[in-house]
Amino acid sequence: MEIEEIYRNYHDKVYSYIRSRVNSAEDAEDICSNVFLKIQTRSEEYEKDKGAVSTWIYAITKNAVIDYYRVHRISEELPEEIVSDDELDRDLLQKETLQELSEALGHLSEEERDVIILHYYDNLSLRDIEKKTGMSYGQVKLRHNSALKEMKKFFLKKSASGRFSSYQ
Amino acid sequence: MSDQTERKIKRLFDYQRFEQEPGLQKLIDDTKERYSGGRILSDDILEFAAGGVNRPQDGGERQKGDPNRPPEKGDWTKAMCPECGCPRWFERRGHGGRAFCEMCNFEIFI
Repeated sequence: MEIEEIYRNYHDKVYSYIRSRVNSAEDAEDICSNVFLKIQTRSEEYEKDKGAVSTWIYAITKNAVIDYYRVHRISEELPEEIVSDDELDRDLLQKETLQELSEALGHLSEEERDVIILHYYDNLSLRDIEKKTGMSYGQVKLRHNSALKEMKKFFLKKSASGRFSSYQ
Repeated sequence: MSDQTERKIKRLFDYQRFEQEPGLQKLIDDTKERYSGGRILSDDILEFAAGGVNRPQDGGERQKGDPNRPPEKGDWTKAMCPECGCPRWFERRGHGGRAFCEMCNFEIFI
């Protein structure tokens, strides 16, 4: 894939990901530029048999954000999901597993799905979800727990048929 | 976050911010639409913002997201975040009245 094509296809995704992690828009733009510079200089390192190009670009982007945190000595801890584990990511982070997450969410009630998305995608606490949705805190907790139980069952089933096999 | 299922979900949602798989993105957008007020500031939000202060107050260590006390550095004003749906501190940055939510970095214009 040519670098121009990669830039066209991934620039918005890369920027959006960085911007969700970095407060300053100017810093986000700098990091984004550095990511594409790395992609350009490391394009020969990418090996097709080791995973999709999107996963490779995601790893570069994530590492760039981690470097930013380290350089700026941001006192808060790196969020757990951003900590680099390239081997884990290579197996887990693929379009197919996102589709399976989507399937798993489809098995939930609307309220359960909302709690999961607001908590794990929007990073809201259960208390904030209570305020946002009008559900009581008890209801939010119940739905969170039942959603997780349902999703774990779904992933186990998938694992039995060959997916997520290394995580159960 | 100790549970493996939770870690997996969190990691996948993090990756979704990057990959934006359409089926999953639709579910996320549906949820956001149900609870988000949209970008346009209503009179209520503007009235709320007008009452904000931009100096830190005394008494103990501030917790991030505390709606009663602004972060110490920066030019902060209080407003209802359309994304979070809660009162938040917004930092004015750049030009043209741009301000960013302390918690979710949602951009508004004040």
